[in-house]
Amino acid sequence: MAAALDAVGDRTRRAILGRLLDGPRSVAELADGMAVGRPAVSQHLKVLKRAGLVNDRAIGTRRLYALDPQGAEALASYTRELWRAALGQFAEAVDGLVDAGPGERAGGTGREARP
Amino acid sequence: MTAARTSVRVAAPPDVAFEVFTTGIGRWWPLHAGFAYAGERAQEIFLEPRTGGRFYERLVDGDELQVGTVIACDPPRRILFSWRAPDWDAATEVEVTFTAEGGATRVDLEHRGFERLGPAGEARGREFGGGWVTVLGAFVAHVGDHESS
Repeated sequence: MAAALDAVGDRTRRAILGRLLDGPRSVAELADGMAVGRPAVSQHLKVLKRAGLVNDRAIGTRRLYALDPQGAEALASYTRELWRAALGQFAEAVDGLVDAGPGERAGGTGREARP
Repeated sequence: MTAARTSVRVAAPPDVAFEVFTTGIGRWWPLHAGFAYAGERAQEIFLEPRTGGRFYERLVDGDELQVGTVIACDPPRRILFSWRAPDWDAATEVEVTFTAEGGATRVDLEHRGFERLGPAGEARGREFGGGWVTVLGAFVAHVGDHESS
């Protein structure tokens, strides 16, 4: 579910999510006042939907987009990516410390140990 | 349980890895790359390696913003701390374990408890999304534009 990270890694998509925090919106409502047009907003909504962050439903002739209540899983996925980035920095800090030490570099070159 | 798990291997023994992760958190935490609830106002971050210790940001004006509390600390093997953003209704938990692998250390991290945010969020009267929406909102607001495509 790295899709969630990609989905929120875009400024426009974060703006859309921000607007949806206030409640369901149509594409037209979301596009109103944004720098990009409706077609672009629709594309971004597709990405958000694929990532499990947003769902949609038809109400009469309108289609409303809303934040998906199952997004906790997507959020956990997003958090995992954030931690992965932070732990990369952490490993560099430890390695830097070891490199700067009195020539006693510990063994092991594999940085990533993925479960 | 909704959790985020990730691991990394570092080229140092557990005591060094533990020390860098906790006392030395300021050396590696990407505070200015969006990993701060105080955003631009965050200046330093601390994780006190003792039970009851605090996990907090110090701001440029000297104020402090506490994100969590250390629930269990067993150096150099394990630290467990709570993580609750300012506008969350419940706390999540982060558990980090340090396991020796030869002269190196495998660091396993689990950030769990996101499901706790659900019902609480709903109780706040959100029409959709439950509590994770609040969490995501916090991330969206604070991750900043460094990773925009």
